[in-house]
Parts: sequence; C-alpha cells; structure tokens
Amino acid sequence: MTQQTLPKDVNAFVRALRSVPAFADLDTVALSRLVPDLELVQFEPGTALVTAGEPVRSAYFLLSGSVALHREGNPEVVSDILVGEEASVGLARYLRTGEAVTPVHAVRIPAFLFRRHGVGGARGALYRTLATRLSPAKTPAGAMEDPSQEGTEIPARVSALTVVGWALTLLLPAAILLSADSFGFDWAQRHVLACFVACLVMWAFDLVPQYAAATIAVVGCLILGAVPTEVILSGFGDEDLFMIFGVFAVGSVLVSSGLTDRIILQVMKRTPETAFGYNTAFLLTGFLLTPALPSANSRVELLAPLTAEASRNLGFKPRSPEATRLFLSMFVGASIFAPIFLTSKSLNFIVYGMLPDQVSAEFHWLRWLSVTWPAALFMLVVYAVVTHFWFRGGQAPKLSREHLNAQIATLGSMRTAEWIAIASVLFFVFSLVTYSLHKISPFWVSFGVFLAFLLVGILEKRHLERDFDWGVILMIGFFIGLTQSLSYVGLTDLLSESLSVVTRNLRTNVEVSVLVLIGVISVARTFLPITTSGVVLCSLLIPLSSSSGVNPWVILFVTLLLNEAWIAPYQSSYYQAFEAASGGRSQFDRGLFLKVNAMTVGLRILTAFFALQYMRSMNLL
Amino acid sequence: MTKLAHSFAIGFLFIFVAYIVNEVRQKPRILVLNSYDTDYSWVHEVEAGIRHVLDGKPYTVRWHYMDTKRHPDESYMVLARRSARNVIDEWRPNILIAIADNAQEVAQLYLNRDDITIIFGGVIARPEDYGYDQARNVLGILERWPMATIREGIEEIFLKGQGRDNLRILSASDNSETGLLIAREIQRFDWGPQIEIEHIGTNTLDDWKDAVARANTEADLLLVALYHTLRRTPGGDEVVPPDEVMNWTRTALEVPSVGGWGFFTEQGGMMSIGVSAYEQGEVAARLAHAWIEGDLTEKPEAFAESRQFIVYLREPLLERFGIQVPSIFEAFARATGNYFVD
Repeated sequence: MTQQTLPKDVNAFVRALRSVPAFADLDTVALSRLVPDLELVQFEPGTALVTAGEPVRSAYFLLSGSVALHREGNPEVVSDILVGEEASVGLARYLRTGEAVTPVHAVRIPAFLFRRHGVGGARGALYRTLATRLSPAKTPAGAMEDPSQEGTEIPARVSALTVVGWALTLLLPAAILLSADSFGFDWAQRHVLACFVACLVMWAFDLVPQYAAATIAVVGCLILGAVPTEVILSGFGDEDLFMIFGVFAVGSVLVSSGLTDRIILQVMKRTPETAFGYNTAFLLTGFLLTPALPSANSRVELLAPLTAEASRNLGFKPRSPEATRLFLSMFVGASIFAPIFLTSKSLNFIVYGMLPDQVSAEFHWLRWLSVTWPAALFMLVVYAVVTHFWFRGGQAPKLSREHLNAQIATLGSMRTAEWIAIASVLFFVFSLVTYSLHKISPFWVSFGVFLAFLLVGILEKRHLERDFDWGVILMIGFFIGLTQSLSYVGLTDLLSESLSVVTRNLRTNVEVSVLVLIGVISVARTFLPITTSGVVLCSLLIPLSSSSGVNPWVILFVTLLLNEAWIAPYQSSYYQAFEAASGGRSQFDRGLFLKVNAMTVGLRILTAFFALQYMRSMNLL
Repeated sequence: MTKLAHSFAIGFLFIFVAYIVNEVRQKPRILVLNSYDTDYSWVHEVEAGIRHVLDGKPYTVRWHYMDTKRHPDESYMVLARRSARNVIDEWRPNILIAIADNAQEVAQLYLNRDDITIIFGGVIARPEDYGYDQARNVLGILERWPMATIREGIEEIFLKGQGRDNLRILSASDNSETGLLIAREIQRFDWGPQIEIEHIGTNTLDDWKDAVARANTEADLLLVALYHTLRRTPGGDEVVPPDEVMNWTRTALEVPSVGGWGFFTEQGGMMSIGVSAYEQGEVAARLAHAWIEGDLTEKPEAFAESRQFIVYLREPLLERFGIQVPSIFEAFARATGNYFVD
C-alpha cells in the first residue's frame, strides 16, 4: 500500500465521495471535518485492503479499481463501494476480506472518524447496505453494536451509586415527612422540602434527566396542593425564561449554518503561526461562543472535534504538551467564562429567576456584562500569561496548509445560511445594545428574535426539534417555581440562616465572606453536580443577601464563579462530554490537562476577589 | 437504563404515586358553595376573607358558584341546585361552606350527617328557616345589616347635621328571597321617634322607577337594599343588569340615598353603611379551620352574627345634595379604599 496526498481537485473529490449513498446526506460542513483525517492510498492487485477476523481500523472508499470481497469462499467483485464498512457500524473485527483485483486507488477513512463525527446521515444508509450484504444468520453474535454508544455515553449499568441514589431518593424525603414536624415545619413546608430534596438527590446521582426530576417534584407539590398553582408554575410566567428562546434560536442558526467551522478554519489560516497565537485564538473562540450557546456541554462538544482537527493540522502529536495546551485553550474558553454572560448556561437562567424582581430588572443581559467584563478580562489575561510560561519552549506549530485549504475549499464560498447566521448574531447583539433607545426588555427582545426567525423561516421545525433543548426549558421553568415555592412556604428564610456568616461579613469583610463561601462550595461540590449545588446555594444565599442589605446579584455572580470550579473529572459533566467528544486520552495528556485545570480553580478565586473589589468601586457593595 | 435501574424507577414511581394518592385522600376537603357568581363584588370580598384564613392550610378547597343573582328564575334555580348537589355527592367534602341564602337550600339537604359539616355565611334569614337551629352539624355566621349603626349614621348626618326634627325614609329592594328577608328586618327594627320608614318591594325596572319617583316626592332619603333581580318586563325572564339600574337611579334620584351593602356605592350610590362581606368569609373559614383541627368539637349554643361594617362614600353625590359627613366617616371610607371621587 502506498500513500499519496489528497487530490488537488477537491470539488471532484467531494462529488465522488457524495456519489456513494452512504455519504450522500452529509453536508459540506460534515465533509470538511472529514478531510484532515483522510488519506489517498493505492493497492496492487492481490493485496488485501481488509482481512476477515482482524481488528477494524479503517474503511476504504474506492476511487478506481476493483476489489473482491470474500466470505466463506464466495467472492464478490465490487468497484464503487466502501470496503470495510464494518468500521462505520462499530464492529470490532472485519467480517469479510477485501482483496484488490486490479490496481486500486482509494481514500482511507479511519474508523474513529465515524464515531467522532457522528456521521448520522451515513449511518442509516450503511446499516442498510450491510444488511443487504450480510445475512443476519451469518453475523457473529455480539458483533453488531450501536456505535452511538461508544465513547460518548457511559455504558448502561447499575452502579452501587445508582442504588444508593434511589435509596436516598426515597429515604430522605420520608425522613423529612416523618421528622420535620418535630422541627416545627408545617404540612406545606414538609412536603415542599421533601419534593425539593427528592429532586436534588435525583440530580446529584443522575438517576433521571434533570427536567424529569424537576417535573416530578413540581407535580408532587401541585397534586398535594402544598403551594398555589400560580406559585409553583411561576417559572413559566417569568420573563427570564423567554430569553432562552432567542439564545437557542441564535445558537441553532450559528451551528447549523456551519459558520463556526468556517470561522475556526479562517482563524487558523490568519493567526500568526505561533503557539501563543493559536492558543489565544482558540481561547477567544470559546469565549465568544459562550453567550450564544446556553450550555457548556454543547459548546465543548461542538468545539472539541474542531480542536482535534486543528491539532492535527498544526502538526501536534497526540498527547503532546502542545496538543494538550490547544485542547485546554478551547475548553477553558468555552467553559470558564460562563458566569460572565447571563445566557451562557441554564443554571444562570435558573438562579437569575431567583433574584428579586427589581434586581433582575436591573441586571439584564447588557448590564450583567457591563459589570462582569473586567473579571473576564482578568481571567483571559492571567490564563494566557500563566499558560504561556507553563508551556514555554514546546514544539512550534507547523500548519498543514494543504489540509486546511482542502477543508476551506470543501466548505466552498459563504452560503446563504452563513450570511443569515451573521446577520442574526448582529441583529441580536444590536437589539440588546440599543436597549436604552427602544426600552423593550432584553428578555422580550430575545424572544422577539426567536419569533422573527420563525416568521421569516430562518428557524424551521427541524431546528426546533434538533437544536432547542426543551428539557432545559422545562427544567428552568419548573425549578424557578420550586425555589419560589420554598420561599412561599417560608423555608428559604429558615434554611438560609445557616449561611448568614457569608453575607453578614460581605459588606465589611469581603475576604472572610469569600473564604467561607469557598469552604461551603467545596463541600457542596464534592457531593453535588454543578447545577444542583448552584441552585441550592443561590436559593439559600440570595434571600439572605437581600435581608442583609447586600446586593443579591453580587452574591449570585460570586457563587456562580466559584461553583463552576472543579478538580476531579466526576465533578464536571462538561469535562466528561469534552473527553468523549475530543477523543479523550488519545488526544491530550489527561494528567497535564487536569493540573492546568486545577490552576484555573485558583484563578477563579483570584477573580472573585478582583471582581468584588471592582464591584465595590462601582458602589454595588 | 438496565432492567434493574428501570425497576428502581418504577418502584419509586409506585411509592410516590401511592403516597400522593393517600395524602390527597386524607386531606380535609372544603367546598365553598356560593349562591352568586364572581362578577358580584360582594362575592370577591367574601372569598378574600375565606382565602385569608385557608390559604396555606393543608386542605383541598374547591369553589362552586350557583350564579342565582343573574338567573333568579325558578327553572334555573332547580338546575343550579341540582348541579351543586352533584358536586357535593361526587366530591364528598368534609366541610361545606354555604354562602348566602340560595346556597342554604342545598346545604339543608345534608343536615345531621356525620360525614359533612355545614358552615354558613352571608345568611339573612333566620337559622330556623333552614332547620339549622336543630341540626348538630351546622355552624355559621348570620349576616345582619348594622341597623343600629345605620340609624346612628342617618341621625348624625341627616337629622343633626341638617337641623331636622324628623325624617321620612323610603326603603326599596327587589323581591328576591334575600330582598324579602331584609325588608322584614328593616320593618322590624326600631328606628326611633324621629324617623318614619316605609318599604317598597319591586319586581320590575318600572316598579323600581316608580319607587324612585315616590322617593323624590314623598321622602327625604332613599334606603337601598337590593336591585339585582329586577325583571325587564312583568313575568319576563330577562334580568336588568344592576349597573343599568344604578346608572338610571343616579340620574333620576333627587334625594340623598343610603345603602346597606357596599356595592350600592361602588355602583354609583351616594353612601353605604354596609355589612362587611369580608367578615362573613373570614368567620366562616375560621369556623371550618377550628372544626377540622378539633379546636371546636361541638356546635356553639348561638350562631355568630356580623359585627363589622364598612362606610362607603361617593364625593360628587354628597356635594350635589350638600351633605356634610362627620370627618371620621370620611377618614374611615378613605382608609378602607371606599371613598369614590368620580
């Protein structure tokens, strides 16, 4: 087998790839993502492309020549297909041997590409192709497995934690219902607290999706009549919730148009060819995407494969410090700035809904950013400087312009969808920035953007089904209602007294308050996921800060900033998503990655102190 | 999810549902049966009193409105009573709070039952009219015009305030069940030597207009009770909207007027010294709460009676008739949000 560079006529190559039914559904963005990992190979007659029983590593798309496929002595000569289709459906070993009959020119497609890129359109066709060629009776037992499960989800199994989780889901609420009477809790308080705790335990142990846990708790309160319907469902009447529609709409348009891919490729092409340049560019790309995609998981899942491609384009060896740094830059850019923007996470929306009306009206999207931008700048600069010295003296990047150009050429010229995406983002930002002129609440402006996209057809049904996380919308609505219910029955005041030491000192002794808060959050985050601990802490601290005369938004911001910190991978769902989407340990040095991440914990604490001083100068404290 | 994880989820769901069903079944059920509908301001005040007590309590409360004020004809009454009975028989409340007289006609069907306690409010009639005096499962509060207070107010404003020695009052009401009961109360009350009072019952708008015309020529003051069930034509089914009655009255009436309920002034009358509807709801709800919690285990010897009243004033009409009210009246009306300037 000999290897060659990719064909110069990229368009012809793309047309050829699309002529195979399996790839016919792929859009140009998906095709462009394949390019860096494709290789053009040649086989002499009699050479085996794949051998039955051997581990599956690649599939071969034949550009010319014929291949004989053997299984149990019945050869079938083919000339225009994908050989080694087993790779595309996640089989461990080849089922048939494929041998070149004539000189063969083919494109080698590594098996991991099918997993990483989730070639959804291709997958169904490939399954059908296989089904027609391989009799089910002849398929080895267990050979077929759903490739979507591989590398992206934890294998389905019931761990001891699951058992403990369900046991606590039953026992803790039961204990509350039985014993809360002796603590002076009335009937409504007992039941709201029991429902709330059941929800939190289900979240903490990941027993059911977050929205399902919130729904169960809300339905429990509703049927029991523990709080009035208008209170428990108040989240859906809260204008905050409507903002997320606009954010989802812009994010959907941005991602589905493929604009992010083009931007990253252009950034790669135009960035000064230095490690600092590329890492800063990736850091900023993640940062800029943060307000537009309201989920850290979505952001890292979107950017991780692009980073892997970029790493290869830059000539970084897998697991090298240089590759690790690039992954870190992307990851930190897409995650650490979540508290800087109101619209970066569902958690932000939930805790924002807990703020008193006058405070949430004051800290709308732009006002929020106007106070947090110094913290963002501080984190950007400190992180860039620290990592610059940390990774000093490594391998210089060597951009493979051939692959990069091939990818850019595959994308072609700017398409209408991409222009629309640019216009959408500009319109969205313009509407928010001109709030002082039009006086329409940013929440309704955001919802108006969603409606406008629907009316002019930019958003279609498929976008609503695919890109809108309705579970998150449900969860936000229900959880705002749950926290309002806690407040309605008077539980918040009772519980928040336990954290009064934080806010008591905040006005006079910031350092002590933040140190106490760090301790509280450290304990909470040891046991609880980010969203759960954020909700619990904010639901306790916000009412307390109001009664202590401290601006509740300040407490909210500091809590969000510190709550996002994590050290062990189990503490961060978006890190786990990132590992799965990027290829994980095969792509970067996990130990080094986690060390640098631990440094960002310190960076967050420093930023908290810095931000508080800035807020003091702004008379917010 | 594996089968075992599914089993945990289903197990949790089963226990969750079983607990909720059991808890909801055990919660005391209270049905508030109101004779009227929510478009009647008096109903809102009664409900506010009930909610003030019951909100946040672990009871299931349902509301049913008979809407007999807008539909006083007997055929509708039969339907409204049947509908209310269906709700009671199906839902089986532990407590039936029956508000105003029409609802008592349904409530009295459940006298001396062990599974249901009747609590009445807003009742003008005598308890014995519904057999409540002999029943062991009935509590409640009687609605009584603050006659003595009304008389004091009238004496203060229209006798002493205007330097009169005597006053001729014409009282007018529709001939609804409540209207007839209140007419009886007015006629029984001792108004003193300086006040001469005559009551006119009316069936139609024309009857009402005649009463107003008589007040203009024969009386110094019109005392207004109810005007909500006046028919458009004699024997007809169409009820004249109360606002229409009051709009006409406001223009045609040439003598001052006083109402015994606040809605009279709210709808355009000059002043009211009205019984507190809020108190009716609040006391009824407190009785329900005490009964459920076991704080009240036996029927009290006497039924409660209304003790609170509210003053309502409409400034333009006071000025039109040159009426000076004591400053304490005005302060009271302003403080309770019942001083109208339009």
